Amino acid sequence: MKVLDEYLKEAKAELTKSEAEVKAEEIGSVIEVKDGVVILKGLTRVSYGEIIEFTSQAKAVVIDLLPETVGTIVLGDYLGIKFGETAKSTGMTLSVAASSDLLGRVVDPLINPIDGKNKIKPEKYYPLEKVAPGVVYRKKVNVPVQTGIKAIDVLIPIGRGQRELIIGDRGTGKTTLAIDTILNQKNENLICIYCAIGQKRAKLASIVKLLEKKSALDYTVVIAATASDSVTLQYLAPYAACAVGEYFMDQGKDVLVVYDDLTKHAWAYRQISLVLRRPAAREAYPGDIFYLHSRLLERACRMDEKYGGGSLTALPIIETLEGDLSAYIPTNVISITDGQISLETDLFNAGIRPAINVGLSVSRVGGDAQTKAIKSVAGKLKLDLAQYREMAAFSQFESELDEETKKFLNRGARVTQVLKQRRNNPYSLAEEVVIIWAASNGYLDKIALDEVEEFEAKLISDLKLRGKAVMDRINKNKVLEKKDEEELKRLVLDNL
Amino acid sequence: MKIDPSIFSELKLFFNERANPSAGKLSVVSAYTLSQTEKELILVSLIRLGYKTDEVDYQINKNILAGIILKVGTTVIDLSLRGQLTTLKNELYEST
Repeated sequence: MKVLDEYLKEAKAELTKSEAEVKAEEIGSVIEVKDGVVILKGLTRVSYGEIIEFTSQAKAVVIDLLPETVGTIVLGDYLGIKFGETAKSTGMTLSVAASSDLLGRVVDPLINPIDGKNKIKPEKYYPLEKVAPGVVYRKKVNVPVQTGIKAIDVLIPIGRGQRELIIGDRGTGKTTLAIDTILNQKNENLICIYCAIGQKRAKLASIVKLLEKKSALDYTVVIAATASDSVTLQYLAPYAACAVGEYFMDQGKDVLVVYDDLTKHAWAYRQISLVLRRPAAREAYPGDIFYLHSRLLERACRMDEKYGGGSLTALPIIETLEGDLSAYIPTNVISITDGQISLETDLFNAGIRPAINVGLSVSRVGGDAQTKAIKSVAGKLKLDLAQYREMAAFSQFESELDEETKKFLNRGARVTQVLKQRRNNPYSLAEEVVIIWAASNGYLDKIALDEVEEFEAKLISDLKLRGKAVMDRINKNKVLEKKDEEELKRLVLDNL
Repeated sequence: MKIDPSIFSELKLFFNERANPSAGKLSVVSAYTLSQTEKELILVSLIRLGYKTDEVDYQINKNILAGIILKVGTTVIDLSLRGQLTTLKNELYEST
């Protein structure tokens, strides 16, 4: 009875809220239904992006306005729609119901829960399509996103408000990189949104379970349009994720959105465009495939305090075929983003994981997004690694090389070894600083290559015991001071 | 030009529609036959709303239960009881 009372109370509140008003609606009738696309006759005064509703309660979005007909894509199941069925316009543009209750939930792009828990009460409606903030509203990117992955934080740093592309073949660790970044944001005041586009449901389930296990779901929203969901939902998922991100950003918070992956998003849009008979261009993609991604990624920004502060960082993921970075979609997205993290199968198979090709990866924000601590130890590292890669070809002739070259190769090999990392094992800022400091100052040069990993683990666990004060200091102040260095030297030499 | 007789009637309908589009025609659907006073009241409101009332087509449809539905081309103003009940049903469903 209590439940019934609750329902009646809510219903009463809802009904007394809405006033009866004379509303003119546009109506149309269905003349074609094909694969998620419905063409209607009528609806003469409907606008682009408006939601229309069928008599069977199904909803669709208008995306094609032609002289005699209107083309729409159905949000959800299109199987029940019949020829001649009436549809009326709702007058609403496609929006997402955002609320702070979304944290910890797994939803579809229309914010219907798919994790089996109760419906989410909307707090505010955010439009899916929005013009990106102008130049005046933005602020320079200089606060880092601590990914917890040594290779990224040291060599290809990501800042809050940046777009960094993760690109690579299948099975090179793209999703793992993104998930590890999310796992490291527990105490970093960063809300994470993971957008799954066209993925296998089993993979999504295992990702959600992992986030739950590591208590990362409390600050994460998962928006999913899996492979068996309609093409419309796959097309809209990234925009929905961006809209939810903007909801949190407008509250002054920092947000990280992972789009996994935009290749499948491009495929979904290609399917819609071809069914709508739009002209096909290169590789059968429609002519506006660049705009599809650029308008999404341009919404990532760092807002000036005057306009609310907050930031939205985007980590789009693109899958390449045969390592071809010069294919159509990869080149498009590379030119949009502020840098890329390039993962390679060869490196992955050789045991270098994360399989980041440091030569091809770049972060156009770079040192501005690094804390002073990391900057002080990372300085020479990139140059050392570049020189090591150049000389690596000579390592086969090791016995015939001079001392200088041997030293370079030795140092380079140890630095490469130190940049390897296990999956789902993020490092704190202090741990990263210590390890890189030890490697670039030559303390690892005397250890055998296969013992470096063991030494690293020993050093980290020792620091957690005896060096806790130093670690806490570095983590808090984000600077490496002289006295810290002295103490670290002592601890490192102890462990050698 | 010779036109195939099998499509002649349909072609005639098509051209008629093109020449005099029913877009401008106003139709009023009611649940029962409206009396003259009721019709006049409706016309006054329509003129106030800005619709052309030279040609008004009156139709009867018992399904709308009560009230009227106004149709101008593809625009529809639903003031019927059936419409109100459907909206009520949807709102109750959504809110609970």
